[in-house]
Amino acid sequence: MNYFELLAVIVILCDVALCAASRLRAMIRAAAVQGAALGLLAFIKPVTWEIVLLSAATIAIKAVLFPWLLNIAREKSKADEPAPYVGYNFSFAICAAMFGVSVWLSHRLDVATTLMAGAFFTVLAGFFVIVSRKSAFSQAIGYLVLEGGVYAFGMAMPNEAPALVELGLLLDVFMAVFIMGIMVYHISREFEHADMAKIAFLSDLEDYD
Amino acid sequence: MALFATALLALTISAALSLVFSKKPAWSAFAGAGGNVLAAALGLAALAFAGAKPHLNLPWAVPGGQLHIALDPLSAVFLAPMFVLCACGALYGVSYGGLNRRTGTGFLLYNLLTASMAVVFTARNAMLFLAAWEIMALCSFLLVVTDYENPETRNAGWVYLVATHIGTAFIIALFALAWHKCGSTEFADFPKAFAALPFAAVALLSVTGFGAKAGFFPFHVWLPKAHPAAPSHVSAVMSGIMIKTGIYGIIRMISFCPPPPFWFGGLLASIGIISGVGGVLFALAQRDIKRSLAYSSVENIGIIALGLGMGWMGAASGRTDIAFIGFAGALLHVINHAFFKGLLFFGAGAVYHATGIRDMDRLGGLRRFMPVTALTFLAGSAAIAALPPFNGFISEFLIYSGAFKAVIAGRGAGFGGLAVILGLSLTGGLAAACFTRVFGIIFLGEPRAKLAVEHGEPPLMVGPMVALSALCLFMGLAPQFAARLVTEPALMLSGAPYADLPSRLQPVGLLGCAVVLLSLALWFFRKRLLAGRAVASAPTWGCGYSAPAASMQYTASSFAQPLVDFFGIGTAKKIEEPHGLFPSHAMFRSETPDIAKSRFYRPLFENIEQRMSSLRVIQHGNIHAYILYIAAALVALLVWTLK
Amino acid sequence: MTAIADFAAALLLAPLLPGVINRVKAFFAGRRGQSVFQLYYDLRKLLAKGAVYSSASGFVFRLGPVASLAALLAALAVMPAGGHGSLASFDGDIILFAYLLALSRFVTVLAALDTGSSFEGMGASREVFFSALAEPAFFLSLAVLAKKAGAFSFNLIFLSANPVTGTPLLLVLAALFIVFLAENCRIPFDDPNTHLELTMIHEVMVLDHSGPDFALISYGAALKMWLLGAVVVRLALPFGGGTGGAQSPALFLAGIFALAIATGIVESCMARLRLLKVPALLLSASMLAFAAFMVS
Repeated sequence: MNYFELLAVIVILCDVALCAASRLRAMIRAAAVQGAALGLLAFIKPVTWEIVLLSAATIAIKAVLFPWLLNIAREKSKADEPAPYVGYNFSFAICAAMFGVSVWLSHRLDVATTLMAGAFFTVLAGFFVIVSRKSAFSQAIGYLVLEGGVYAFGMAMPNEAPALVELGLLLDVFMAVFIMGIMVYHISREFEHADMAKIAFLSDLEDYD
Repeated sequence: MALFATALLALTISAALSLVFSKKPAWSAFAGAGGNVLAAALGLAALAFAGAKPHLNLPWAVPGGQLHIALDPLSAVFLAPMFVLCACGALYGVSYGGLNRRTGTGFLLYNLLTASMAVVFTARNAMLFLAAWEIMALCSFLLVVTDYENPETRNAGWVYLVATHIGTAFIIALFALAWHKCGSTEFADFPKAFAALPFAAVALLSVTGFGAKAGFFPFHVWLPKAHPAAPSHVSAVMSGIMIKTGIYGIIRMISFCPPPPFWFGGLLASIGIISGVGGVLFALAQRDIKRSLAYSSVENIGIIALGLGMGWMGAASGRTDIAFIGFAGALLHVINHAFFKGLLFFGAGAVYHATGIRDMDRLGGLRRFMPVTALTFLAGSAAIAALPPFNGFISEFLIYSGAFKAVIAGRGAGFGGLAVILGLSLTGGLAAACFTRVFGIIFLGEPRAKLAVEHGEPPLMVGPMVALSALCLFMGLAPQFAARLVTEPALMLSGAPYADLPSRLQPVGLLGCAVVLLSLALWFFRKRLLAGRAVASAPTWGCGYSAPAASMQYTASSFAQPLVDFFGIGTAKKIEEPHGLFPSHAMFRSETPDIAKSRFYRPLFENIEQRMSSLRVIQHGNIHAYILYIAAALVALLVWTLK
Repeated sequence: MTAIADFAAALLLAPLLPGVINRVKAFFAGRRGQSVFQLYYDLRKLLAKGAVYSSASGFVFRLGPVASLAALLAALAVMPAGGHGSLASFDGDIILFAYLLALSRFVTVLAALDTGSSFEGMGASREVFFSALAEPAFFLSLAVLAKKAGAFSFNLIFLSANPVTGTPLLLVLAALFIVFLAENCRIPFDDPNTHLELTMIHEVMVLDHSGPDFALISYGAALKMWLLGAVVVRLALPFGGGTGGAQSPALFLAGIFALAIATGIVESCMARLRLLKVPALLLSASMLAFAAFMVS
């Protein structure tokens, strides 16, 4: 049995779970499991100290730190609904379509591994979650997953991927999600909700205080 | 061929006779129905004993045309169910329409419709084909508006007339292109012309033009309007066989082309999935029996398209066996659908004839008053839900087999096969839901409203239903015979045979027989067990409620509600909630408008109307101005031709 | 000969499965539970009784249990539900199998509608809804098996020299297990022990059947569990590649009872899903099978 393939499938299934989840808690959990799987996937490359570091950092950040932070913010804001624009069952259908497209893309690339399809799919799923859910939390989760997809690309490429770039990218996303988490936390404290559609009125830069 | 020509003659003469006798409805019905049945016998004999010279070629007065008809296996596969169903419909129509002042014209049109369809399926000349096509369209239009006093019927006829002529316009464009390339209207010269034309043009023109008649989603909008409006035997013929002229046209045209590329099979399969799932979902949402059946025709046309798509995908990937099975399945479904859909429309008509109601939510318990109709309708429902041991399963089995073989073959065809399997399985499950609903709500349980069941079951209506249901069962139990019907045309399309189709289907038939025999055995086992024991009759368990009433039964709408809501096909609900302590009024109403109509055609036509409204100034009712237009047009044409 | 033995064994042993499940559930609930042979006792008792038919019902109601069991028996003929091959085998028997199950469901649903009870109508409506969603999942799983084995007949699939392994196997098994639970009306789809008609699916459809009719239905339900369980077991356990592989009835029996125990554990650990959530689970089964198809 090929364990990396199993990990790739776990990544894919987490995407599905993410798109179909009707609870933020479930979305965060799916993202965390996916983070852990991605971390272990790093060992698909020849093992060097960089790879070990990458793996450890990925697991620490994606599977532990972010989910923990997001959960704290979620509990503080008492939000537990992703507030979708698109129904959950229809999301499923879109999910299947995105997966089909991903497989087709990976065939076009001639790197028709499960992981490559999974990487495409993860990027698409990330985008989908960002655009189809109103909740600010799901946006943060979406960015996280999107980055996971880019990371999976690196792992899927047969030649040596620069692990340092990966680490840098991880840091970027770390900052982004961290800032978003703080922001969401503050917004939710002010407004009792974190619905991006409803706080769009802030954009006219009126002084709220 | 002489037999076939005689059949056509019998149809036209009996049509004329029934018009002549229209003052004496009984004579006219006898002439019309008798002529149709005779023609069916002659026609079937012609198919069975097709001679060595299956061509008939007569000079024709119309320029550019020739009365050239020919029988080949592809024509035969459409003609056979046509003759059977039309004859059944003619007999049924005698009782259904009753004997009145419309009998004469009714049979005139009905027999002309039959004759024109026979010519459409055999014409070998584009002009002749178009002429027959147009006669078919007009006859069926006039039959649809039989009940013309009803404004809804007139509206339905209007929609049908427009839809069919839009389709015809595409067909004329296709034939004109071909004529332009080869200078001939003979079908024999079309391969040359089509080879010179881009395939995409031919394919898209035929799929649109013929698809409008076949009722592909989203060209299907006329079906759910025209079928409920027409008398039931006409709906049966229109739905069972007339819409298949569209399928026939596509197959015939594509057979003149060089081998189609893979995408064409994919296109048909996609149309098939959309029509199949869309059709059955809307069928589920309808309350009118005949409208539900009309949508289910869209679904079955989708299944046929899936089979054809599988066939062409297989052919394009060089797998003649997959192509053969796909085509065989599609063609067999053409035959099967003619039988069970005809049967179901007859049944729906019998219900309407007896009760005057088409709204399922008001029916129920009809099994008691019309037992034979109920039994035959049950057979038809099982057949259309593709359940063994009935014929519908055999054709779907073939299409599935082709798809599984494609999945095994892998690559592009593999994904095509997977899509076909997905489409078929989804359609299959939904069709089972749809027809448990139609049959269960109408015939089982207790009547939901006070029913005045009149007329009972006249033998001329019951006879055709029994005959068709027996055919459905026979073709399911002995599929090897059905397989022989489609072997030759499928061979013609795929170019290579697939080893011994009939014997491969035999086990399916045998297991079907096993199901029947086991059921009988268990039935008698239970009978023996219960012999001498207390067998009581008691009210249905009302879960503790002591005064259950018939109006509390699940209705057709409530039965379908979870599925319809889940797939979100736009059911509009109107609720007036009860207010106050002693509410006097409350109302709930749900309706599912056609998504293609409300979201696509209406905006489109409204838009066109808006843009065209500025042209209204030239239409002002002044006769002098109109004559001026005509004169100006003539002069302009003259100048143009003489320049 | 061995196929006939398998057929007979399935007929004889199928009623054990519900017994095992109930025993496992009792164990988890800290009870001793009924005997594993309880269904046999029930069947004997029911077959010896008279019958009560609803006054609203007619021949369709009487046809239901009979035709349903007949279809299941025919389905058993094409399913290698034992350690060996099946009684009948031909290209496409997997399709016939699925549609025979559909036939069995069709007549059961109609029998329910024949009583005119609104509760049974509700159960019927749910049954056709969920099965319409389970059908694609089952067929997609079959497509995965066919693709890998290069054949679309159960015997050839299960005795293939090239069986489904690795990740695709896990995915297909998960999909088929979900279908197994849904089609057999187990938790999380339907609670066979519930006493509230409003929450039932399968049980509410057979409320009005009594005596020998109910015996046929209960037996049919056990047989259906055996049939669909056999798909999972034959796939999950190594029956050896090629026709000369190990064909062990003992292995099969161990497998199918292990499956029953697993079902019992699932039922003990999970609650029934809200009805609105059921479609999502069935869709995820389709998604699992689809993913398996893509990676196999």
